[in-house]
Formats: sequence, C-alpha cells, structure tokens
Amino acid sequence: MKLVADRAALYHGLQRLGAVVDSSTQQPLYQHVKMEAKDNELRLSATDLEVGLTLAVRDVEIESEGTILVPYERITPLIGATPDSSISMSEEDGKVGIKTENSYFRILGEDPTDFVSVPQFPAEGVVEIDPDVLKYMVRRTAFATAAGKGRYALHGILCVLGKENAIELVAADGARLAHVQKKVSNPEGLEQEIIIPREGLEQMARLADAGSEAIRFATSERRLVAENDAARMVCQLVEGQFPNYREVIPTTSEISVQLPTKELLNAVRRAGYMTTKETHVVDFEFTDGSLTITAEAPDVGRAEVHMPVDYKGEGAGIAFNPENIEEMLAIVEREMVKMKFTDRRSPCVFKSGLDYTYVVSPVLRDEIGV
Amino acid sequence: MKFNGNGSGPGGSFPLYLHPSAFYLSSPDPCIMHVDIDAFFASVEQVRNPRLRGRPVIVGSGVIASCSYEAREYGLRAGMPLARARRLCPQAVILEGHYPTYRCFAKRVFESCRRHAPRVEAYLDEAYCDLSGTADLYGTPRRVAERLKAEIKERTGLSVSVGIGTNRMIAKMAGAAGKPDGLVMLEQGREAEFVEDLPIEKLPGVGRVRIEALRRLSIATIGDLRVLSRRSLEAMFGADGRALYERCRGRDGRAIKEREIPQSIGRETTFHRDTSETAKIEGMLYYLTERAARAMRTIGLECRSVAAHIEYTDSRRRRSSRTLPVPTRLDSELFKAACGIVKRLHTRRASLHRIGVRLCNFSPGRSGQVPLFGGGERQKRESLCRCLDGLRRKYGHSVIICGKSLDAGENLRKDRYGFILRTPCLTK
Repeated sequence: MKLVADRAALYHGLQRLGAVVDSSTQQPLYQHVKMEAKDNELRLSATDLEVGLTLAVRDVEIESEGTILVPYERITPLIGATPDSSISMSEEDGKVGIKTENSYFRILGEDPTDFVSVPQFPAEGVVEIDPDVLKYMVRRTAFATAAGKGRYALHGILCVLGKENAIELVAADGARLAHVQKKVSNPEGLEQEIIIPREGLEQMARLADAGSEAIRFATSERRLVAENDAARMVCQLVEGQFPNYREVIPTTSEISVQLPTKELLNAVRRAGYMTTKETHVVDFEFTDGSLTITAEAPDVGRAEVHMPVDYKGEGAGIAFNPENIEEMLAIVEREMVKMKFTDRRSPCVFKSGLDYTYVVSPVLRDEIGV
Repeated sequence: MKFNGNGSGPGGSFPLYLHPSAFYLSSPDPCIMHVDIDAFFASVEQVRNPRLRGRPVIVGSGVIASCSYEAREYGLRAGMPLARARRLCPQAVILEGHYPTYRCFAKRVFESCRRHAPRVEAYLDEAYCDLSGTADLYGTPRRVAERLKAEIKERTGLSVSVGIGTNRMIAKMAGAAGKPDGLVMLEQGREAEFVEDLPIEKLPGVGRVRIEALRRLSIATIGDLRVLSRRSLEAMFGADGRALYERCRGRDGRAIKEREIPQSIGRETTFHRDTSETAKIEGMLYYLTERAARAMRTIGLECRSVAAHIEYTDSRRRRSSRTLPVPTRLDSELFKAACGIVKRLHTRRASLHRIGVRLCNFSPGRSGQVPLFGGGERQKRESLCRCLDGLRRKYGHSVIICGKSLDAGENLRKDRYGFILRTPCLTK
C-alpha cells in the first residue's frame, strides 16, 4: 500500500471513527482502525463489534493498493498534530510508514485478515430517509431510552415501518415514552418493526455529517446496514420484545392545556433544585389561569414557582420526576407544548406539533418511600 | 484543652497555641465497642418470668436456638437437637419462644447503644458501636461501656458483654473473652498478641471447610496462620485470603456502617414433619417468601435476586439463586422465582427437611413512580400488597393467610404473628 492523503481529510475521518473504536481492553484487535486502499479510494473502518463504521477519505492519491490495521490511539493524535498539509503513507511488512516533509514515523500494525468488516449494502428492502428528518427523529427519542439494568429491549429504539411510507421511532424506559412519526421513501412497501440500539441509531444519524445524499438503510441477518454517499455503518439489532407502546399512549384525556416550552422548562428546572434523590418529585397544580410547580424535600427546602397559563376549570394536579419533564422540554423547539392528562394516577401526554408525542407516567407523592 | 469549639477563638483569629491533638477529631484513633446480649432469648424469658431465673432454660423447637448459662453448664449449645439436650439436662425448661418479644428487647438495647455512640451497626443480638473520637463528648470508652451496661440492665434487665478494641474483629473477640456480663478493653498495639494463641476457628471467616484445610497444614492457632504468606492465603481462599492475612495479625479494616440497606433478607424453617408433597413445600415456600417480602417492603426496598435452598431428610443441601429481569417487591413475582428454583433443586425422590428463601440485591423502592408498562395488573398487585401489609401491621401476620400457605399450615398452630414454625424464621 502506498498513498498520499490530505492531512485534514484523513484526520477528520479518523476522528469520526472514534465513537466506534473499542475502548475496552478485551479485544486489542478492535482498538485498531482498518485502512484499505482500493479502487482509487482510501476507506477507514472501525468497529466495537456492536456498531461498525466505514467511510471514504477525500483527496487521496493511491499509488499501490493494500490493507493495514493501525492502532487508533497512536495514529489519530499523530495525524492531528502533524503540521503539514499532506501526508504520504506506505506499508512495509506489517508496519505503517508515515512521511511528511520533515518527519518519518513507523507504527507497528496488525494483520487485517481477522478484522470483521462492514458488510456490503443489501440489495433488497431498502428504505430511504432524508438526513435532516432522521436527525430530527433521533433527537426527539434517543434520550428516553432506558439505561442501566432492566429490560434489555428498552435499551434500544423501536423503528416501525408502516403503511403509506410512515416511519415511527419509539423509545421508552419504565416511566416515559417518546414517539415520533414521519415519512420515508419506502418503495417496496416494507412493513416491519426492529429495535436499534441507541448508539447504532445515533451513528446512523451522524452519517449525515459527511455526504449530502439521503440515508438508505436495510436489515439483513439481524443487523441494520445504513449508508449514504460517504459512509456506511452496520449495527446489531436488539433482540427481544418491545412492550406494546400503542397501549400506553392515552387516547382521551380530561384536561388539556397549552404551555410555553421555555418558561415551563425553566420553572421545572428551578423547582427541581429543591428535590433530592429520595424525593425526586415536582408537583404541577393547575388553578384558574395559573400553574404552580412545587417541590419539597424535608432536608433541603421547598420550591414554589408560579406561571400564568391558559387554563380554565377546576383545580387539577399531577406530579412527575422532574428529569422526565426537563429532558423532553429541552429538545422541543416549538414555542408551545400541549399537556394532556386525566388524573394523578394516569399517564400524562405532552404533544409538540402533529408528529411528536411524549408520555410520562406520574409519581404518586403519598407513596414515596412506601 | 483538646478541642476549642470550631477552632476560631474570640475575635475570629485562629489560636496558634492549640496543642496538635486539638485536631484529632479529623483523624481520631479508631475505637470500636462490641455489645453482645448474653444468651439472648433465654435471658429474655428469665427476665419475663422470675421463676425461670437460676434454672437451665432452652428456647427453640427441634434444635436449641438459645440456652441460658445455667444450661450451658450441662454442655448444651445452640444448634444442638432438643432430644439430646433433654438427655443431657432433663430438668431444663424448654420454651418455644416469643420472637416478636425478643425483637422488642433487642430494639431497646440498641436504642441505648445509639445514645452512647454516634454510629451503631446492629444485628439480631449484637451491635458494633463506633466510639472513635468521642472521648471528649462521652468520656473514655471504659466509662461509656460501664454506663451502657448499667443502662441496659436498668431498662431491660438483660446483661450484655462488651468488648472494646481498635477494630471490629478485636472488639468482638475481646467481648467474647469476657462472657457473660463482661467488659474487656484491649489497648491499642496489643491486638496481634491477643489473637495469637486463640484457636483458629475463632477467626472470623474461618468455617468448617477452612478449618479442615488449615488443620492439614498443622495450623491450630491464629498465630500459626501467620506463617502463610499473603500470596499463599490468596491462592487458597481468594479474596478472603487477603482478609485472613490481615485478621490473623489482629487487623480488620471493615468500617462500622449504619445498615440502611441490608445485604439480604432470608426466611427459612424446618418442616414439622419432613415432606415431599408439592402442595406443602410450595405452601411453606409461599409463606416464607411472603414474610421475607413483607420485611423488605417495610424498609422500602425492592430486590432483584432471589435465592432458595433446601435440605433433604438425609441432611444433603442444595441452593441456587436467580436474578430477575427487573427489581420487584411483589409477593407473586418473588414466589414465582423462588418456586422455580426449588423445583429445579428438588430432584431426588426424598423428603425435604428444611426450606428457605433469601432476597438480595436490594435497591430503594421506585419512590412512587407509576410504571408505564403493564401498569394496570401490576398496580393492582401492588395495592393488594400494600393492603395486606397494612392489615398485618395492625392485626398481626396471621390476620390473613394466603390460600397457598394454608396447604402448608393445615395442622400448624398459629398466633398473632403467623404460624408457629419449628425453627423460627429470623434474619441475622
């Protein structure tokens, strides 16, 4: 292998792979990045065996083809610190030579034969999505995935392809659920439900960072493969049963009120400072024309935030874990959110626009610590 | 002067003439006091009934759970079968025991401990009190111990043995040396010398199996254990080996912790008559699970691991555990897991003599969060549990007995606190 590459483009590509290089020490092979010079293009690939990513580097002149594995933690900072604008690389029996105007480095590499590579893109069942739409959807759902122990299926995001080119993303943990619906180009009329791990989906959304075309994706052998004109990624799908999300989205509610997003976020955040780990609750109390958010912890203090709202009717209230509300309000861009609920025990729905639904289960204040 | 308020004298300037020991509150010499109630159950019976005083008293059914010092003179020990105890000491008074009463007594004893020490780690009949750095406030450890003993005697009528040392192991061993009604204080620096000649089985962490292993190496006393290097002990006993290396030199780094979250909550019992009937086994298992789960809910926890163990009629034992997908506090879910384990374990066609269940891997309860999925059914079950707990708190456990447990208890006597089991289920 012998080539001359633009330093900035190469460094950019390497940085982009950082998220998928295996950081555990279990598998030293996957702490390497694969560099493959072929067909007049240089491709970089890395994987942590959950998510794999491969991308092409621009502005490369290839003199001879070849493949090599280089330790990621060595080469990336080195390329980053190199002052020259172009770098020539060559392979000599398992070592990578990196040459600039006034320097020469030789890095020990690994044999690339055992390295798992990103598979070819499947020919069938391909769905196309606009990169901005995908980013929008991921941003609105990914934060709600479950973390830590618990149901494994909830560690991923459910992707539902339905009739009339509909696509839905659903993320949930035990107390909340985020649901967003959009349109895709689904020429084969595919209907399927897959669970994509959060990291995988986020990497898929980041494909749009390089390249300009629509993102195409398809599943094969319990894997999701996605690509655009610049890069291709693969990730293992989550096996398991996603709980029936349609069941928990309430269809009717007695109380419906429009709330200003920013003010509400600010109020909840401030009230949240008066909560502790044990009493992580903020209380929403609606009275004619006003909303009062309170929080109280015996060993901290008490918070009371008032805001005028467009609400008429009898007093009503509901209590939440403030984090569940804050995280949602932080990603909603519209000025107003609609909040709909029935009583203190039933799930409450927040709606922003026609496509976004967020369900959050209340906290029963009188049962804390029981 | 040892400590001058918050360190700033009049005028707010820091007094430069303070003796260095003024700062000892930040890193005081460790001082641990171990309080152990002498012959706990039997002593409570003797306090409650003056006619039993001075006589050999045994508490237990099937085996001795506790016996008075008068009974110990006849060679009786806890764990001995009652039949043998009767032969050795025919005049002994044998009582089945009033376990809730004992708990009340223990509670009072530990209340007294908490008045004399800032940090107390209490178990069934013993407590570790951390007295480090309290000398100025409470007086010397010996004075504290004397006052505590007098107070416990006055409030409960029970005698306790107190040991004081620089760590918890030494405190406990010192206390054991002064039983009953003793007060032994070991000065700092004499720990290694104190443990040196004690038999190896007195060392915490050395049980039957390890004694065997050590005997083969002609190690009989704690001092003998010091010939083994840290590495050999580690090779023999793993991580415990490292602890043993320190302990045989009189060192023990375990801190005194107020145990807010217990390691595990277990309930077990011996069957009145050994049985292999599924209904009886499952019934008893349900009863035990209910008791353990109720204890867990009372302190606001839920658990993620369930373990169960069985003992066959020929004393062969098996145990196993499993981890649940999500933490729970529901009787039904815990029983399902426990029952699955017992079914897997009970493979021989032999009767069971003993059965037990243990909950562990606790986390604080969900703090009132209504679950989003499966809410309906789960919520109903949770409120059922809450209602049952409420009823039982008010009227005693046996006010309502689950149909499943009735199978186990058809010919069991019960009192306010539940079935009268052959060996009571208590958590240490």
